[in-house]
Amino acid sequence: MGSELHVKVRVPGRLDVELSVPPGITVLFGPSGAGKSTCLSVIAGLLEPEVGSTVKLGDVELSKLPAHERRVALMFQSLALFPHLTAHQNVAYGARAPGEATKWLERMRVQHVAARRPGQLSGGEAQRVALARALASEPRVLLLDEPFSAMDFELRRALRDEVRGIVAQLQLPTLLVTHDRDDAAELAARVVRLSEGRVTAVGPPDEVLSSR
Amino acid sequence: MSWEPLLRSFEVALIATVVAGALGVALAGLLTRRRFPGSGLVDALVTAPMVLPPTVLGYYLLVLLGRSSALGGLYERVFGAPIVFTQTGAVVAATVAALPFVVRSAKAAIEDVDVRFTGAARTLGAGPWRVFTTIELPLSLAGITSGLTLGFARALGDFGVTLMIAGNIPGLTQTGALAIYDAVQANRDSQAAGMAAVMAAIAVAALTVVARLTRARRHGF
Repeated sequence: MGSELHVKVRVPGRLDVELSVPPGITVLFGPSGAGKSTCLSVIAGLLEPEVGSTVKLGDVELSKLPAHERRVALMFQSLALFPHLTAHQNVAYGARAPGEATKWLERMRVQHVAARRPGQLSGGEAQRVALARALASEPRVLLLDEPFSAMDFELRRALRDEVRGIVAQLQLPTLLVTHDRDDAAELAARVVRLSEGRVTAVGPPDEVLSSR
Repeated sequence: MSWEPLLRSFEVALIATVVAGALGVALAGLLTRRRFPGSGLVDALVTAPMVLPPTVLGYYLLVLLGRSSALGGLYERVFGAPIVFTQTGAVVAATVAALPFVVRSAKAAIEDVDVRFTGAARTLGAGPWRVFTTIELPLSLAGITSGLTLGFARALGDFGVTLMIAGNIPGLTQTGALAIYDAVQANRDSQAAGMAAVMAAIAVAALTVVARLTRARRHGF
């Protein structure tokens, strides 16, 4: 069973957020510009917040560690697959054990594109490779930034099921950012609504998503 | 036409490009996205050879590496020969001339690497050195190669700095650019024209390579 993630983030003029993420999927929901992606960057260690901000996983204070020591995997909205590496090399980049890359490519059902570069992948294949890359690094926390954007309905539904199954199995504290109401309703155990850099509601999806 | 000064130019420029390449890429990596005390001064010193008159640059190199200087004296004690007025001096002059081209191009190329790639690498457990060698360097290879090509062309044609620190000794330190000057002074017009044509052809070829690499870089992978 994974630990709970506690986040307190202050970025002057942009963000003043306090939230907790238990194992399972918590959806950070809100309109564009609400500060959702900034929040993920701070948790991942890619953005230095103001003094007084903390990111804790159980007793471990992640905010005292540099990004590369946090084991917080972030799947970017743009995917950020390394263009000079093949799909397999991308997944193996952060893998903590030999064989993990192949295992995750198979699990995500994209082993047939292992030798291709990102430019040769379809949108759905690229999304799956990016997710495999994040998971092969054996993260303690999983951050997903709009993981289903620009996908058609069928692909979206298939990948949603995949993510839900993996997170349930690994019991990973997972923060999924979306501005899509369907994604939030389908995936979230709980929803945190963010508006203009502040948390305006926290609770089960049907409660938070129906409130204004 | 005498090929010997041209071949010496080629040899000197090649060694200088290797040295400037190693030093320049390391400096570019250090100066990009990593601020440290004095980084502005290092940046200015590296770029200075682009704007300083060659004689001024040559003068300072003479002061720094001459036989009576601490550094020059130490080199002579260790290697048994001075730096100045030798082919090593010509290599030093060419390296200093080429260095700013390598650093400028490499720095611009590294800065162009999308921060999302470096960010993704960091979240996947890569420390600064691994991010530099596995993400920033390969993704800026076209820009670095442009810098090396320009640096090579600049090193090949250096006149003033080489004259100041290596002299113009036929058969020892005389490079192509210096030999052309001598040929013109001595009214050996056909010899000057032949050597000038070869050097101009190499410079144009280098610029063509740079243009192709710049196009490749703009279009990405």
